[in-house]
Amino acid sequence: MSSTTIIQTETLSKTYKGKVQALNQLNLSVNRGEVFGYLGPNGAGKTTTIRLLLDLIRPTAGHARVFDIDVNQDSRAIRARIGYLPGELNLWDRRTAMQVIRYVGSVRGGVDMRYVQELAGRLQFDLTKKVRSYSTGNKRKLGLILALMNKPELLILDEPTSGLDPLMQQTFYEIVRETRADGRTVFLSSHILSEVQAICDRVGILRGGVLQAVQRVDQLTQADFRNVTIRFREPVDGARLRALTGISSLSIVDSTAQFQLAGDFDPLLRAVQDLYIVSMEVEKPSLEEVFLKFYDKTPSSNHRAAQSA
Amino acid sequence: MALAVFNETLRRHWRAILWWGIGISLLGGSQFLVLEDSESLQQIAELMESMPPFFVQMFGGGDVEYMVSPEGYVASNFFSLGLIIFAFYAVIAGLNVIANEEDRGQTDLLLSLPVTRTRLVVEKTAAFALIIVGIAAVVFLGLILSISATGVLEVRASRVLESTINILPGSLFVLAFTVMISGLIGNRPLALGITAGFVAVSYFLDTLASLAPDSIMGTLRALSFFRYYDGVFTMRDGLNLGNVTILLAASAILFAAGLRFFNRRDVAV
Repeated sequence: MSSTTIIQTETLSKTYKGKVQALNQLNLSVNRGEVFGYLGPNGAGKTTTIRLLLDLIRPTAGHARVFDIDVNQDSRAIRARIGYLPGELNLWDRRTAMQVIRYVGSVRGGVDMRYVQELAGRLQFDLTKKVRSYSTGNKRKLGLILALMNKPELLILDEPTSGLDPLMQQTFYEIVRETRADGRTVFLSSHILSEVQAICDRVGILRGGVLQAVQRVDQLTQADFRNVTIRFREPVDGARLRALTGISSLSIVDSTAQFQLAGDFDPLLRAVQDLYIVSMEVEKPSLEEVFLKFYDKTPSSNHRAAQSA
Repeated sequence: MALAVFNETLRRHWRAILWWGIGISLLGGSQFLVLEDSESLQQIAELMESMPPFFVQMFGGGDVEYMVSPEGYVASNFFSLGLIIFAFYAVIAGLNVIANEEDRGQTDLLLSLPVTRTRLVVEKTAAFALIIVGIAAVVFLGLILSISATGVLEVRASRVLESTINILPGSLFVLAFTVMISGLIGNRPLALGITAGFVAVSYFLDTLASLAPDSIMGTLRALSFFRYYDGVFTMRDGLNLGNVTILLAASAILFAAGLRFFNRRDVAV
């Protein structure tokens, strides 16, 4: 484990009750100073990974190190340097936000109240009310303050913007960028692709407990396929396009063909050179489309499925 | 900060000292109102003489003469039930150590902080043990006030103190048992069911064994923690240090087992 590696897992696996394989052979490295997005649908194993890193649950196989410390050996030393926001934040309903902050701060050994006030101001959060009176979004803000208030070296955030309004999401993104600028590390799970696209340096994509890929976000958005829409003057024979390699998700409505094209354009252009093309649009895929491609479910195929249903 | 969890637990739950203490004191104090009527004990004595011996045995070892004295009356009508009342609170407190916060998903946040599972459980258990002692102290004060108010001076304050102290080891045992079960299983309803069942079975085992001491129940009685708590005998003869030691030692063993179980298992979602 290099000095720049903050999180490292090796063949980390977790099976619940000997039956449900929640995480399978996870090999993952997160580097100091990066914002790492951990992406996957519900049940993919994101929260299981986070709870393993915090030693809340124990691995069935493999191991994990954070700050070069084995999470099962000295978890307390690791947690002293971590700020954590759980996916489902349940606090003590009868206490005020300030009382909760003081309690968490006292367990941590102290808290900078000026920084707490600064965070509360930026998130437009009233610290004086009882937890039970807060909306879901406000509880999320309190959770973010609890995670951020000690300026931890590593932030582990499980679905951090769930319930936040768009304005507060932008504020959160700013705070994450500042955290990165400080040289601190953020590990956040999400299923919101635009969020990952906005703030993450790298993204790991998890599916069914298996890590499918780890990519830089900028590389992921430069995936080697494009969304192509060609409008012909006359109706076109789909077989001509379907025969080409690199074409997928083909749909033809009247004289308009939509598909995804992987690879070079030359075979496509040669295949339709005898047809009159009214217009041709080529778009980069969104991260969502790239993400769904990993799951073998393109948006257009979903759309077709919905239409045929 | 040292004792942060202990302090917070006390801050949230100290009111139980007042509510439970005052409630149990009123229950105990009401016994003294009966004693103000000089004929009532005579009537009770006549009633007990008409009862079958095994029934009398159940209410205080068969010592009818002592049971119809003012002290014996308070012992058999209040202190013989004292532990079962305190056991209710001890189960509630024990569930608050691990099971309740785990069930509500609050343990994830707490254990993401630099605190070990052992420290979390030790500090919370210590706070609830102190609250149980506080409830006992309020009950003792309430009973002493009742003695003063009703003028039933035949009930010795020193024996009331010993009898009140005698409730504590059994209560701590139930607290430790609940922590042990909660440490073993991350399921609050199941932990509650097992603990409540354990207390109920222990109580009935002890009661049945006192009715038929020569039967198999008499042999099994040693398994009931109520066997090591006897409100009537403590009031009459003073605190039995042997029983106190057994209950405290068993509590320590159960608590240590609970810590070990909780340290080894997954925190439930």
